Amino acid sequence: MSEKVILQASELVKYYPIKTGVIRHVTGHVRAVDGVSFELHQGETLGVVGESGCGKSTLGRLLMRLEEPTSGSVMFDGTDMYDLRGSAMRKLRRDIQIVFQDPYTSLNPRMTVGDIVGEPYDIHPEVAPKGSRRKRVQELLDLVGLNPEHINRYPHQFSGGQRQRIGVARGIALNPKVLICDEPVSALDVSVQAQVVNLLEKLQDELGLAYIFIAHDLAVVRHISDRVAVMYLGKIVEIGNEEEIYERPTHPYTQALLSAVPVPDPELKDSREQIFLAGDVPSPANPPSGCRFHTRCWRERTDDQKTECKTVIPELYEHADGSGTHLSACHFAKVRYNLV
Amino acid sequence: MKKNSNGTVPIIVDNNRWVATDGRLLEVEDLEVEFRTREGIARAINGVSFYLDQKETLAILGESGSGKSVTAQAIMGILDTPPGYVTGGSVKYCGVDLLTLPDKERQTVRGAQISMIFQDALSALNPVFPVGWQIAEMFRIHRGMNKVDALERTVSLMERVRIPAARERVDSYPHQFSGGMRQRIMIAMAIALVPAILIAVEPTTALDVTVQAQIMDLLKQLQEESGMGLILITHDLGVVATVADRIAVMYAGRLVELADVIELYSDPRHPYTMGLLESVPRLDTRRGETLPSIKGLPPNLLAMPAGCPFHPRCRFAIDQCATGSPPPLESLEGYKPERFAACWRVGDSELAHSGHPQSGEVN
Amino acid sequence: MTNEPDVPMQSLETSAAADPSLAKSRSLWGDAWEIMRRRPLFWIAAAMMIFFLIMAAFPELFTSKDPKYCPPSFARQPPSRDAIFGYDMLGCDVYVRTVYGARASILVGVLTAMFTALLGSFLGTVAAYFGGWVDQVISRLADVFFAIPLLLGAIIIMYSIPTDVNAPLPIAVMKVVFALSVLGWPNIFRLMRASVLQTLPHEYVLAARALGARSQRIMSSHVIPNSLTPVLVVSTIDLGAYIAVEATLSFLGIGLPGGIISWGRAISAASGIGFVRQAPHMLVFPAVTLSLTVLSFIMLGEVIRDAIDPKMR
Repeated sequence: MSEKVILQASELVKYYPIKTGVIRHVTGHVRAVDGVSFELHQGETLGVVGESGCGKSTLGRLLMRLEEPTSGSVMFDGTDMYDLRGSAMRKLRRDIQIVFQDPYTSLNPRMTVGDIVGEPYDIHPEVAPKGSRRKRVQELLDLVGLNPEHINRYPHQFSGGQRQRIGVARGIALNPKVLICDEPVSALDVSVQAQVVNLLEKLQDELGLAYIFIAHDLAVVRHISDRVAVMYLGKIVEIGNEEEIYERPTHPYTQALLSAVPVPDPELKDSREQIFLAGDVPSPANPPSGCRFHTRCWRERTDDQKTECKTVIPELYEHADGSGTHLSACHFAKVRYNLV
Repeated sequence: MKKNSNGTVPIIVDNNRWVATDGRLLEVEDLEVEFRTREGIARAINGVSFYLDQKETLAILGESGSGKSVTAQAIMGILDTPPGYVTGGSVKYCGVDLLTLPDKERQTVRGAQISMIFQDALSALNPVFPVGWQIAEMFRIHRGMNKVDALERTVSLMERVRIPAARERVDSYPHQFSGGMRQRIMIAMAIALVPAILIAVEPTTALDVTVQAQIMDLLKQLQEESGMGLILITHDLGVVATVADRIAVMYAGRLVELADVIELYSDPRHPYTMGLLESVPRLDTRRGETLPSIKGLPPNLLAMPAGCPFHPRCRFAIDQCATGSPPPLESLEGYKPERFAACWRVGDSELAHSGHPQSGEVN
Repeated sequence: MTNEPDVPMQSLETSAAADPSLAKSRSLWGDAWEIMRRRPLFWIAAAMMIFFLIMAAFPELFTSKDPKYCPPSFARQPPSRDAIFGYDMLGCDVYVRTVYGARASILVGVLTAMFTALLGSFLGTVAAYFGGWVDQVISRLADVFFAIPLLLGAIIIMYSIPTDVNAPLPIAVMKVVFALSVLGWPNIFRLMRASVLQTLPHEYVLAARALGARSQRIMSSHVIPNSLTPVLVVSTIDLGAYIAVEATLSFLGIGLPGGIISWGRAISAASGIGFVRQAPHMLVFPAVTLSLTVLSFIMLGEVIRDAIDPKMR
């Protein structure tokens, strides 16, 4: 990992209009991503965790420019990605690639593995001259742990874990600098999940990739991430390095999330104190005022403090005991040592 | 008291529910299920045996294709036939073999005495009827209640599964509830007739962790209140650790290990269980630690390897494992409750106690 | 982390080798073919279809007689060694007329199915991909045509375009094809539009966009190949239906003009008052041939549908 910032998101916002009635007029907005800023360093892994509806997948698609943001910018190597047009944008796509969640729908069933992994070279012919493509595809298959002789097979002839390896091979074909992994292992069985996580770590070491690793499984995220951002209703509520988030979380949401993760050790079940959150995640179309978490916050506060939570939007700031990069968006951030 | 049609075991009925005179609710013996497909016969379950006592939680743990869901379907009698056929064994509920019971009698057991919840509540609920109506239907059909009484029972049931503002939400439709709330509604329907056994198939897989915890907590409470037996079918080693009493581990259609939950986690005896426990990332595994993983892939049910189905992936495999018939599930000495494993090398010192999750052994 | 304990190359290979379904590389269509070729129904339907297609293309192979040779003295004679299907009321050989009638009927069916498939899937793709007002305009237009019953609409169109009784075969056929295509495309359009809408959100389409692929490439190599299957199935089944509708139109006297030999006209002529009882062979033979042709296409379509339906696997 180096100190060089490779990707910098500033105040990213994505609202989806809600249209109702016969004339389809806009009656509101789903605030999927609402003011997200972070930096990604060369060769590091930033984990993004959160529950469904927190906006983490939308964030991934914004960073990939599969969606246009409502506002905000993403600087890559000194240029704002959203200002680029046509061939400049296509060129940038070589540097940022994505691996999707579902190994069954992320590969075109009518193309052979060779065509799928080779498609990046069809779109960017300057990367690999035509004659060398087959060899490069086979090298890629070998790199991700697949038999290079299987180049003419079709996706349905592979298992879920193998398909995910094919998806990874396609993602790294153009030698990107950033790979966005959108829930890359959530659809896989436990024993296969570990294989793919190890593969991603190996590739990072060998190719110097930076990852944005989006997932809902907190244990997997810790395993692969240098830093972790926790999202709730479209905002980052806490960000810090892996140790800070998992062992000394300061935001009550992060604390509740961690306490809810079932630990695969029956002897610990009585020693862990679990925080139960009341109710469901509010609708992102109508998020609570002030701190978005205040409707479910479990921390004891005075009435004055509660009023502040309800009315003032907390910014990400460094906690008093913090060490530089550990930021939390809570008016009353306080460390709770997490017992795992 | 009445005789069932098998003619052997008397059924004692109390409050619409059969009574397990010896406390043993369910006893599955040598269950065999095969799927007859275009490509050939897949033996999805090969001689699976286990039991469930009152107030007990048994978890059936396995990965996709292990046969865990098929086992649940066979017990419930909702196997898709064709292509699935039960080809052997017995499923005894309160001593009566459900597999030989005439359809009509089995119907009185299914749903009322043994009920089931699924992973996907949205597709399990009927989208065109209000949820309250769907729950009340259970009381009207099975208990012959009138509309008003059934509605009252429905509201109190919805309150029992902790759906806020139950009375106002009785008339809402499934899509108007969140995933966690829908799961509660499905649980309410499953426990409406006070079943003796609840089979939960991946009940929390589709849910977020904070909601997952709520649902598991709810299931546990309901179980304590009613004394029902719970069969939890899942692939999630975390969820299992917090709620199960005993765990049955399945691999490629066979039970490979069955043990008390604490013993299974602290001292797994089958190499597959060891590998599984090692490969789960835990909240305290740090960045950079290599995750031990089981090499290779589960076998194709249409082309099972000879010998132990796990041997191609097993780091302890010896020549004996690759030939002949698979190792039988055998009782290990000195355990209470009884503990089983299906491995030729289960007694070997190399294998014993080498599988602790912290040992960090790697393939 | 330098050592890689994972990546089980060897075991991946062995497990693939032990698996018969992975033995050779097969596309989805390859799989479908494997399933179809094991079904007798497929071979029956295909054999019948090829038989009728050959009949349409090369009628001379089946008879050496001239279909226009109709001596009045043979009129209404029952089947005999000379004419196995007998003679019609003008003295034409029914067998010969049936053989030569295949061309017009099958031509109408094949061309209509082709035109509706092309037009419908093109418009369906455009509507689904661009969405917005483009989709609105095309969809409403399709609704208008969809609301007209096929037969009634065809009658109106055929009536409103004057026909020369002695029009040559291509022109007469194209007129019927035009009438049926105008009314038939919305069916395929709706199917293709829904199919494309289903394909578009798939992650492989997103992956292609993420790689920077242009719309044209995304459409031609990802969206269309994965959306076209239902169109092919329904078009095959519809082909049979179009042949039947053409026969109905000709039967009503407004399809193909009298100068053209077709099954519909033959049935029409044979159904005249008194003929059915007097000379049933005039009606039975062309009608049975027509039914078998329609049946062969419908059966083939359904066999294909079963074979490519993943739920049937």
